[in-house]
Amino acid sequence: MKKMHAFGLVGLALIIVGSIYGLTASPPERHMGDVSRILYVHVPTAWNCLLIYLFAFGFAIASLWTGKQRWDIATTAAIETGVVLNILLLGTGMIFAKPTWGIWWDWDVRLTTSLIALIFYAAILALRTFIDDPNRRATLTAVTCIISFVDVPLIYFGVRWWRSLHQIQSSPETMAETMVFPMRVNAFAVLFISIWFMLLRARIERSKLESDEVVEPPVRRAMATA
Amino acid sequence: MDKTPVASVSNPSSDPAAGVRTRRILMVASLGLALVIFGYMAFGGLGDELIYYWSPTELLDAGETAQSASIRLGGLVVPQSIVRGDDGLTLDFRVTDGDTEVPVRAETVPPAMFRGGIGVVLEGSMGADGVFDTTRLMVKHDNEYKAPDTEDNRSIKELVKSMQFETTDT
Amino acid sequence: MAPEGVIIGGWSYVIAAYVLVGVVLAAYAAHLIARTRSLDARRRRSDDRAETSVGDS
Repeated sequence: MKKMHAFGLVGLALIIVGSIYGLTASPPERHMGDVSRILYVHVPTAWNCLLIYLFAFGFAIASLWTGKQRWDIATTAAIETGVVLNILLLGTGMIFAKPTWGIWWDWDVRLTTSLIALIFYAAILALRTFIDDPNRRATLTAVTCIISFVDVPLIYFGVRWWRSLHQIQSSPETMAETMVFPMRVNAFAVLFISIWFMLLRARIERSKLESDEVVEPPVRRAMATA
Repeated sequence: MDKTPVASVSNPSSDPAAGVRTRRILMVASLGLALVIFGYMAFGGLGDELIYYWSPTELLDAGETAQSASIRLGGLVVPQSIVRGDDGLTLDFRVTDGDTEVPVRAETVPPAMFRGGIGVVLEGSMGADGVFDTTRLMVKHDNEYKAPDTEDNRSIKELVKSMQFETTDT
Repeated sequence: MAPEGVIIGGWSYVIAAYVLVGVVLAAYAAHLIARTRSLDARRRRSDDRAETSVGDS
């Protein structure tokens, strides 16, 4: 158990370094000024959100293929972490949008698909609370997770396929080195933190399922003989 | 801790093989459904129907049918075309897609990044006088993030690329 | 006079974004750790109970 905390500690150290650099050492953008520093928290949360949803997609496939509970645990942990990151990407995004684009929100493809993802994945978590049977709950979670994942490539590639308010992806060619650096550091920071979250959340889910199984069989037997 | 199907009120089947088969069928079915939905979204020509903003050329080509309809117009602000009204409320400028220009009037204070050579997305409607009246002026900046001492030497043609006007079909 | 098309200041937005991220990550971490601790405590209690009931039988 102690070993998993290393991920959290590394993530914390990295995000402190990346953020201090991003807030002080990297230059203001030639047009955006200091507002550009929001990049160093907005982009890392966005990248990792999509990555974690990708993990959830893989875990869901494994959950349906093998039927083993550990994959349902992994899927749930990934979805919940993804939802937290999704909230952050939308929040930081709106805070970024107001001074740069001039508005808090518009219904372009990037923002709309990002919001849809949050709604779908949060709904999966909510749905889970309504199903008591762990088998059915795992199956439903996996199926809805696989279908929800359709939205993720739309979030990423949508700005290339359709006209949008959000600009297309940047690259090291279009971005100053002193800006790429804190963004990369924070991206790894959020990745380590996300892994730590998933490990903790998985452990909690495992404990919950174990204690549920201790409670359930006597109830089922009573109902079978009634 | 294996999840082998157990005979219970919620899952009457006690045959583990049926459980495996059902799960795997569901897996293939949901992947298939996901693929179909994705294919439709990405390649189903949705871009033509759900155009987020019109280009100046498209707007003028639509002629009178585009007038007084509430739409979004996208374009690059033509450098040196910005005229601020004496009352400080009106803002006149032109937007371009590299081929056609459309004059615009705004009665709002533009965002700080507003300037000649930047992309904008405008909500409003085309008037009979050929001027686009906008009620909502949004800045659409490109994907460049540079330090203050770096100069931007790009031409209008290059800058217009950021408006993605060629993406009508995917 | 500010040059055209440049954002001046805007630090309140920057602070808001970083605070949002910090607070949400810290709160979620605290939530997970608290749940982990209560599950550990519950397991320790049921282990103790199991030991004493074995002794009684």
